[in-house]
Amino acid sequence: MKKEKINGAEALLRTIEAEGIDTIFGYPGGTIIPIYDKLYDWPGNLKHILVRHEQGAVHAAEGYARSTGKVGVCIATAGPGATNFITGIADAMMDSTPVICITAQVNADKLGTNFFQETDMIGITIPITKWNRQITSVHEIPAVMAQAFHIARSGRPGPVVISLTKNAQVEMVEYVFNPGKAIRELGLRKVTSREKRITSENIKRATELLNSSRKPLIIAGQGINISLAWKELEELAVQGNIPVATTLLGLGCINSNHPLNVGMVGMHGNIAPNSMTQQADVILAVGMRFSDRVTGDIKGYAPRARIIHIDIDRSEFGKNIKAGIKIQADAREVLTQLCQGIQYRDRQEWLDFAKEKKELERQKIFVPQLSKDDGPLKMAQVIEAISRHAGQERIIVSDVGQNQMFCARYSRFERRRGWITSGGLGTMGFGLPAAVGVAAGNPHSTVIAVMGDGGFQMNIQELGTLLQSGLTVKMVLLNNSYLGMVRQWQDLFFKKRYSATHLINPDFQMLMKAYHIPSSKVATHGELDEKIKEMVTAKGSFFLEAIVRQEENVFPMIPADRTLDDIIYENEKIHHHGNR
Amino acid sequence: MTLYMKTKKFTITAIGKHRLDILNRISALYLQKQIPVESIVFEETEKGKGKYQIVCCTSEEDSIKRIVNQICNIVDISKASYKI
Repeated sequence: MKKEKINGAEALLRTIEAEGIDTIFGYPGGTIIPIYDKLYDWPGNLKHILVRHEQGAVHAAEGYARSTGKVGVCIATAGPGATNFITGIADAMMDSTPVICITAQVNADKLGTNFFQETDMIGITIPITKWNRQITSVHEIPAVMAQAFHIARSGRPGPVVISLTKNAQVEMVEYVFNPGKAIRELGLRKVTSREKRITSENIKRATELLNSSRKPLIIAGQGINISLAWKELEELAVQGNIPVATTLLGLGCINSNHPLNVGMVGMHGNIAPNSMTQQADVILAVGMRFSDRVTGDIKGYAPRARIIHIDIDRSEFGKNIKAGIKIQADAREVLTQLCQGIQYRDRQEWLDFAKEKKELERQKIFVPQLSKDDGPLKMAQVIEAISRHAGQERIIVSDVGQNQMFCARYSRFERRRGWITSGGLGTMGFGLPAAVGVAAGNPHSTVIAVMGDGGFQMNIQELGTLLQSGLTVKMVLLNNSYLGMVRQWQDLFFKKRYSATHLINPDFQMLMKAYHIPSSKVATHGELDEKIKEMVTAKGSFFLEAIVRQEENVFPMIPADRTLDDIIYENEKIHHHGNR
Repeated sequence: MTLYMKTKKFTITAIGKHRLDILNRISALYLQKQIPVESIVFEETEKGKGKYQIVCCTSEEDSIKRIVNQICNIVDISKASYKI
């Protein structure tokens, strides 16, 4: 029997659907019309969300991927459509997010002629992709796409760019989809026994080190979410009675209410885990990369600790911090094995140290931040109120800056994959489009996007995506009329010279009217709870604008290039640090 | 201070698919770390297979180790190593 012939555009969409993807995000243009033509009356279950800018499509795909565990897929036309993907691709690379970015390309026979909208996406994206490929013939589509999905989600996940020439979209092919064969053809390197660093020997050494430790600390990162190792992490912590700290992206991999959860490490992290890092005799770092925002000055980082580093990516070992025991493997696999030998130790003194630091932070930071006074609202108060009213199935998506740090510090993380933010790249404008993707992948969750007035306006056009798609996102704007984090640094390190950080904003309430999105504004403590409840219970999307005090800083803080011992709690002390 | 530290000559060899984009990925790693490359050889060893050899001088052996690890991470590379 003769096989059915289909064109390349249809082959592409069939392959995406066969990989279990139900939603893609994109924006059409001349060179990608054949794919949009197929989407016009696509008989399958694949939905397309029309964004308003291609950057939004990648962030939406990231939000979809991080909140569902699937691969996010986005499509754009050649040239400017493709180059608008760049920030999102770089963001996905830094945060190990599996996305496939498909960009159209001019006909294969026109490559290299400076044809209208021709841009070399392969050359441009080499440093910011895990893998990229140009498809110039329809016959390559099923196999290369299967390989792209495999590479994007396996090992340390990351972005893959596929540049698809127009002729490949319209040529006809007998469609055969055999992902197993395609992946075998990749000829991926097998890890040799010498390289395979999960051995009975290093598991034994790590277990012994943890068992003999008086002051151990687990630092859990994004790798826990990627390897689905939440249960194993908790088991290891409970069985060994070991406190757990998380990185910014690791927040939520252990419940905020868990008694062994000591909080977030890093520049604006909690006092307990940062102080414990400096006192610990053993640190078990799982799926985290010792980013400069976590370590501060590496020369003074964890001076007393022997470090066990678990990561699937061997290039992370010794990149920033040298570890005594390096285990290159999937976090879940290693934690399962560690659980087998871990012994319970009392460690009351160590846990009391954590409690004491937690209490110190409560008194110095939390109480004053959350106390009601006569002044304008504080960002912390808004975030804390969201956690109280939004239900346990909420997914918080933050933008970048002070709003992100207040979210990280004052939210309660009570579900897995309940926290989506841009970590490594720190991409302002991430919040709104990422929330669109989260909403597309989680229609039964309450998706709350928390943004500052700067970041919101960086991808504000995605309000149109919300309007047209009918997806539900609860937007909270922390409006202080400043680029708050940059202003904070100008305040602390540049003698309050607020250069280009004050924003004169539009009337956001009128803007919401234009987009037919119900909205409200809150400026006082008295109304806060009621307004948050109104937002949460509203049917469909809602926009809540919180007018917060203008010159508020996030504390505690460890200034860049200082050690974790140099925690500052308030403005006065910092001026001694000058402009560092 | 780095200027006065003794530099060594490193030869990194990588085996993988014979593709020009892999060469770009490898050279980008040197560019990012600002390590000057003395020579770079890219040749087909058998059908579809390629050998990449890069010679550079630096005092930072740790950087070279990191580059080798990153080269190993390139999807189409099967093996990478260095010698002094």
